[in-house]
Amino acid sequence: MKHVLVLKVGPVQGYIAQARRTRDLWYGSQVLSNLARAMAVSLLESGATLVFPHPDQTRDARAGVANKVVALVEDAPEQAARRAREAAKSRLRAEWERVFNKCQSMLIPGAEALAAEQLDTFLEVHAAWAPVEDAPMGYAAALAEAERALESRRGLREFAPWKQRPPEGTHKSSLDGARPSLLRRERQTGHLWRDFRIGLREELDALGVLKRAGGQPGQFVPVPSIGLAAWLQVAGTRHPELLARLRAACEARNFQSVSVKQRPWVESFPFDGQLLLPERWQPYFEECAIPEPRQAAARFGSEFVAPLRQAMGADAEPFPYVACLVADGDRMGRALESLAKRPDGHLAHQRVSQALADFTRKARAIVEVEHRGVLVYAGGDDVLAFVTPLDAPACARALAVAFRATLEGALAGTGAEVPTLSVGLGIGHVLESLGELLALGRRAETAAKKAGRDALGILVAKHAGRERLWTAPWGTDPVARLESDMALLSRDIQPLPLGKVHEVAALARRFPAGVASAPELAEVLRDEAGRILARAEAGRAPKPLTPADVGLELSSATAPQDALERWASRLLVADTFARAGRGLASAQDKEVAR
Amino acid sequence: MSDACFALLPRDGLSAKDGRGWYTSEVGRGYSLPWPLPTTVRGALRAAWGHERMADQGITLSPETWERDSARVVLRRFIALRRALGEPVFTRAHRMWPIPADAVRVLDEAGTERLVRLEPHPGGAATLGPDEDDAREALWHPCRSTRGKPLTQPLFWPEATMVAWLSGASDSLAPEREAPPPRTDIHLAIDVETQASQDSMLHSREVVEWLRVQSRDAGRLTLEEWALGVSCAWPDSVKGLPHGQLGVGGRRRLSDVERLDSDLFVAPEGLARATRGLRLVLATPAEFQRGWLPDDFARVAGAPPRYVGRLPCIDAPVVLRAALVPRPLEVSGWDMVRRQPRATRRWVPAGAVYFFEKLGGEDFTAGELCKLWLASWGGGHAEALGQVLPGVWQPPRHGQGA
Repeated sequence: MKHVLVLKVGPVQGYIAQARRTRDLWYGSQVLSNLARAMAVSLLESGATLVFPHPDQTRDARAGVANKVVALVEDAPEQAARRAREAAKSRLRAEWERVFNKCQSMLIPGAEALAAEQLDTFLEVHAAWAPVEDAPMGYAAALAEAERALESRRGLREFAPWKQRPPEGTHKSSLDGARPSLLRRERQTGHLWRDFRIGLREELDALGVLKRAGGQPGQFVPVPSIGLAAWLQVAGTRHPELLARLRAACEARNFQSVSVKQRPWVESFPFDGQLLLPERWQPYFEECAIPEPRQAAARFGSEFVAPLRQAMGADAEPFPYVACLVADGDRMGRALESLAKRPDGHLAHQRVSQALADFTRKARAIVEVEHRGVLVYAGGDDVLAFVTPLDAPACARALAVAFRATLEGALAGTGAEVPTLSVGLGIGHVLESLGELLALGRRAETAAKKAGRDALGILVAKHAGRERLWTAPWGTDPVARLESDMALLSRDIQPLPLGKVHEVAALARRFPAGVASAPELAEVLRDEAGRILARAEAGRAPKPLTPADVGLELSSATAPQDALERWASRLLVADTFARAGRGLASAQDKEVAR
Repeated sequence: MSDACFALLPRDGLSAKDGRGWYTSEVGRGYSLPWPLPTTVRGALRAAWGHERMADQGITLSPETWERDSARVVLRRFIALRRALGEPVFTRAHRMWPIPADAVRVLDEAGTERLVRLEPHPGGAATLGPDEDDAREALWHPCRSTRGKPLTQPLFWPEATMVAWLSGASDSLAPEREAPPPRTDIHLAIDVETQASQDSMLHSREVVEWLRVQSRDAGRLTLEEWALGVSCAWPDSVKGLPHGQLGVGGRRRLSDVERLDSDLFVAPEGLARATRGLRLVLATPAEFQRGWLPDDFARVAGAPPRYVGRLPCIDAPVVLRAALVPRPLEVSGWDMVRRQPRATRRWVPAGAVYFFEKLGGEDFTAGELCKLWLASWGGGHAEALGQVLPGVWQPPRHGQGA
């Protein structure tokens, strides 16, 4: 008898978020994707018909595979599930053995036993299966039953206490704070520690070592370099000789370089972008164990970095922020449910899985080729990437357009509602931990969903300031709106002073709640906002600004307090993007940027 | 020696760090637990007791003596409290309880937020877990009847909501609003020579804020004040209370000490009544020898195999029917005497729910439920671990007998 078999591998969210460096995040996602792929391959070998992911994705090692696998199994679903579970476990062990052989010299004696326990207790594979009745809705009913059982089963996350005892006083992993570290206490300055960017006081358990050392040392673009991609690209065009000097100085000090192809901004300066930030010189030199780091860092900065920064001009300071882009399909469940009820339900699902595989391929090109970003993961309807702030809104829009277009093709003629893509952009400091940046991106994506889905959400978290959130549906062309706001804030003639935006925000915040129910108060609020905008700024305003000039809609249909708060948030978000591009937007630079 | 009952009211937030080390020049961010663990509070009480003893007797305790002698400070009860700012005393109505894992907040198809209950039933599709355990797979897997996207839950429920839930209230309870997220304190390091801030030493630390906005209606702000309710053995003290303020958690942030009535820890009225099935919610984390599986339970062969065992305060053997256990709480303490980290302990988090029937099929009595209120289950009694809240459960008649 035919069964629908659903498997899930985890943990996902928490495990991926435990990351300090780009490589942690990227390889953590890669590990989970590989485990899901191993389960899918095992099911194919068991004679199952794969529904999710599409069989093509199991053959493409670069393609991301979502953590949920769905298949049709003719007989013995339990055995197929067991084999798939064992395939995932074997894959994890194989990944570890490869990394262990590479990193053994960094690990404590007895690390194998500790690692074996950590790996065995890490993996959560759950499966559920239900028979497919020979009826028109047989597939849909069985899938719903199996998914319900799987969700229920995952309410119990069984675990056992640790049995292996690490050496007394062993510290915990810096990534999860729970599993004991496997790294030797006596740190050396050897190439392995340096290649994998393991700090002097950092601690890593088996999963942490796997993340940190799973890839090749030079294959990851550091997050500061992604954040400063636009600045670096312009610097490389305007002052190639100064950038080359800086690059040579980094090479002479044997700083770890990045070797990725087809990224002009990385190729012109293949080192960590934090070297452009004066406050990071000394910590970076300390991390590289350079003698007398304080003096050496100061010399390096004044001789090689400061000249380049000065040449770029005071109005083109590197803006040390990066966008964490998190995207997720909207109403995918509803669309899949509707397709499952068709007589050819599983075939319709396969067409969707094929379309999602196409989308993930497009997503890589959109992020990495078209928008100076780095794709961490694209699988199913999920995307996680880091992009320079200047490119982030356009990148988000391109992904949303590509997603909809791809799904439209797969759902043509089915009558199912075409899913859309909600995208969140969390803008945070480049030195923020990857887990925090990811949390920002996820919160922005959740805000986009709450704003009605099919929307963009932007959450700006300054290093020591208030967070600013703005959401808008894709239908209102939010990217054009932001561009127009950025122009408003930075135009040569009569720019909108940021102080007025803050003043309007403060006005909205301080006014008593419930203004909407008091028309006279609403009128006062509108008038006061108009007065703030119209007030002449010491010799800078040839004519008073009006709400219409600055895109502030104060219609009677919207509560004025909400309108003011929303406008101020939008302008403050736009200001972040304007700062990211400040001094980089000459006609020539725009050409380069294209 | 009678127990001392008091509330700890942190005056400037509280930061209980998790196991991740952090250095200002590297990550620059300290992570705090969303709520302090009983171990943190017992540690603070032991430290306070040692300081008091030294001050009273004019002696200096060595770390080893301090550790040995302060072991008599035993935490017996540990609950969260919340009251409107300005209310003079804490009462039972102010108790807050961890949200049980059998309560799920969902956004239904109509976009309405609903609170739904997970009910265990036998049968359903077959499942497979991460390893081989037929008795565990034979447990009933609680599922919900309402569809919708699950939403994140706040940490705690107020007394009235919890009591209604334990009494078997329907799904229509109003969802509790979110508590505000922890605040982040930003710090600088000042260079002694230049009296200016040092490069790369900007760092931050998450802090749980204990004074929060409760409501903001028509321009009027109501504040709520949170506290930790503690009942503990406090040896050698006439007053039965720590003197003065107490340092708790990271950087020993000061907490006021306010006397509580011992009545604050007793069972609510009307909850205890006979019930065919028992629902046990963990009010504090539990430490079991085998991880998620409660102590004193063993696999009994049969078709299907079952876990049968004993519960505290109940004489008859019981059958474990279902369990809702989130991922383990990993506790990584610091040994203050040896100045080194302790081995990680893995606890069942507060809010986990276990469902039982008596092996003989008889009801749990009202008296048994009453005895179970805040009874200690599993290990770690000195740290108030494994305290349970009993609730009623009507298991379906499935024809198998218990």
